[in-house]
Amino acid sequence: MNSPKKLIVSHAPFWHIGSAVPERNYNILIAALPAALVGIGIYGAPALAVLCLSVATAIGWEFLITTIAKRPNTVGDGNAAVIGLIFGLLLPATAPWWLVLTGTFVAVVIAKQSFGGIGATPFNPPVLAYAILSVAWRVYFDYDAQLANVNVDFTPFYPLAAAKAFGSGAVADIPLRDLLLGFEIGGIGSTSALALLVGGIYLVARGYVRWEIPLAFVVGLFATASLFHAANPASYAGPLFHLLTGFSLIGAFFLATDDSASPVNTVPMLIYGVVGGIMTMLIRNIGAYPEGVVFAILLINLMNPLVDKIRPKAIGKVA
Amino acid sequence: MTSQKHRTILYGVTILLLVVAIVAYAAFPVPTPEEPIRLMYHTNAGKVLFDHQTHASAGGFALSCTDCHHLHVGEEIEPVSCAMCHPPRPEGMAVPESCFDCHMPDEIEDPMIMKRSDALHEQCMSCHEHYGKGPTFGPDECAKCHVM
Repeated sequence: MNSPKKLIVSHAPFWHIGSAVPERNYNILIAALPAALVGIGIYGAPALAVLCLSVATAIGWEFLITTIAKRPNTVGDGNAAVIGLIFGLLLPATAPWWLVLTGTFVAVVIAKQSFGGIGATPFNPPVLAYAILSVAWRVYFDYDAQLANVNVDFTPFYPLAAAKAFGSGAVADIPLRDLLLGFEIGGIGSTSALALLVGGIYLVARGYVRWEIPLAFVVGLFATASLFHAANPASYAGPLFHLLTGFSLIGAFFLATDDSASPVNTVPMLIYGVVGGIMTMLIRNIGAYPEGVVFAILLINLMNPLVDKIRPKAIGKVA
Repeated sequence: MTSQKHRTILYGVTILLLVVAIVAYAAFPVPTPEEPIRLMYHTNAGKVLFDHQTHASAGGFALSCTDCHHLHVGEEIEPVSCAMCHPPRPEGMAVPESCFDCHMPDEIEDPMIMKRSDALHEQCMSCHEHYGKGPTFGPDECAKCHVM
């Protein structure tokens, strides 16, 4: 009896479809480009400098560490470039060169290569680098302080910091259109919800990112933000504000979906994403930091091996 | 495409990006404007973001310089940064601790320099009270302006 679902495997020779690790990474770079371009469009040459330096130094560190450690040269797979670009997108446009250099060192050498390189990282390297540096040099990640000398013609303060300190009234006048297009104080490429959505949907459509993780992350974040807002609308901003602000969407599509730090099975992916969204809102609303995505993603990265033990039942049974 | 080809392309791109980064960092630093846009005060009680541009611009609150910056010895110099004379903290600052560090006793009436926190509190509160606008203030309302 022939089942239409049966997989048919023919004998050798096989033809490789041409898809490999480099193709995946170059597609992530393409997906992140709209967000990068929006950042450069808003903040100009300083943002371009940070992004270029971040990508170049990440590749440089990768080359250096693989040469020193006598490992295979993995520069060509594009993963270091992805780490550099994603890390750059999280930084303020005025980040000094030494911060970028140190950040890519932490991301590539400590967070990636010291754990064994691509496929062996327990944490998303740009996220770990951001977390370590933001704890070490907090003021350089304070977007209000760093962008104080940048003249902008939109709301001139970091919305998440204002919402946390002064309640939802402080951000009630920020048009959602600004949050969608990226007209807000924040990281270079993390502010335009529309650009991140375009990139994220591209990755999902091409199959480089499974839809379960971003969707679950967004649902977790939205639901938790709704509950907080319903409980106390004066103190906690609404779910749409939280979804479109800060690192929410770059977190859902680009940070939480790291290959080796996220689960591979459906139910674990859903749990992983939902917990990420919930933790983000808990940190934003009742934690110490205005932005919770970075620490929430580190936490779910840590949780990943445990939840990935929830596996589908094996087909068939032992007699 | 082979791995070697990938590497060769990436080395070229890396050098290009590095050159662009160095040129952009060197040629287009974010300048410190002559007139501040926003000021971030890091205080013992959290930080305060002051939107100088909105207070001073015609499209904002349209205050004139002298509404906040008191004139310094006549009118011979432009308004200066508050911290030029009001030290953020009393000790260890490279700013005058007393008017007499620069002036003769007969040049000024009040020789006391308020410390920065007192000067700014008085300035902000009195103006907000006068116009009846902006954040409310008081002993229990620090968090209306200070991000703790």
